[in-house]
Amino acid sequence: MHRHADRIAALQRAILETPGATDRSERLAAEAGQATGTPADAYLAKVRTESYRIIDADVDALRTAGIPEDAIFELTLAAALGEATRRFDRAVSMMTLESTSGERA
Amino acid sequence: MTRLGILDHGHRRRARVAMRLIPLVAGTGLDDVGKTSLYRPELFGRPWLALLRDVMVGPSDWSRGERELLAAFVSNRNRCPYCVGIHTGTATIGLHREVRPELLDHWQEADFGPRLEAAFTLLAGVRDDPDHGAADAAAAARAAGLSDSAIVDAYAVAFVFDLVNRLADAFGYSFGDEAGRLAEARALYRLAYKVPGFLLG
Repeated sequence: MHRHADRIAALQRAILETPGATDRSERLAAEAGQATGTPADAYLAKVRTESYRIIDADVDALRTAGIPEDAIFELTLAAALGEATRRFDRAVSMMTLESTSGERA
Repeated sequence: MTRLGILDHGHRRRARVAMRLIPLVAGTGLDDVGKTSLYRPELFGRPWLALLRDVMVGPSDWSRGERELLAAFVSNRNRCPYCVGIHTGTATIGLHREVRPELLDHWQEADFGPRLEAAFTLLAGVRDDPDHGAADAAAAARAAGLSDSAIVDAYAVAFVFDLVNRLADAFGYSFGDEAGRLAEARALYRLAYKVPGFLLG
């Protein structure tokens, strides 16, 4: 347990569980990098892996596909959260592993 | 203007009033991260700002200026021009030395000192070699004198910027011109990520 855990967990709960334009299951899928069942999946993959390539047309296409802006907002938050969380958890777990093996040595 | 109209014009009444008043007292308008944070704050802004403020200005082995530099470093790895622009600006203020984006690309020659160099190695390792980089870099960071809490705090800076870099890219955040960049950086550093609680209620 590290000192940021509670605040990170509060952010995760808010993004994934606050009622909104998308279902919790859709946001959980976006967070986990899985198919959401919405036309936003290609865009969400871009958010996770190469967000710097996103252009106006990507977001316009979501609106054209009938996705409300609040849903775009929620799914983007979930996808960004998921990628940040995976990187953070991986880094912290590596550190713990390293620290544990150090104690055993 | 962002790519989502709701983030520019969809706020509740008290946030809309505040957004009109802020330029009069702060000398610059609310930045795009702030606009996003005040939109449906129960979904994002309230827990986000609590975390962000703690990570960036709360108790830590890292000074505020050093954390701003770590933020700029992560943003540069993620190729987020908005966050690189703002946080090279805040790092320049906090460290009392000019931090340009080119220094982040060539940090090995930038003379930031052993602690920050160890942190950069750590943060780069997590990205470039996720299976091995983090553990090796953590060992090197400890050898360079970083405490475990300093390492976790550096990872926490990376967490908040791995998240907000993606929002900035997706929603099309902008600071406008160079004067806008400097004004936003000065305001952010002065206000230290504080937002009045009533705007987040």
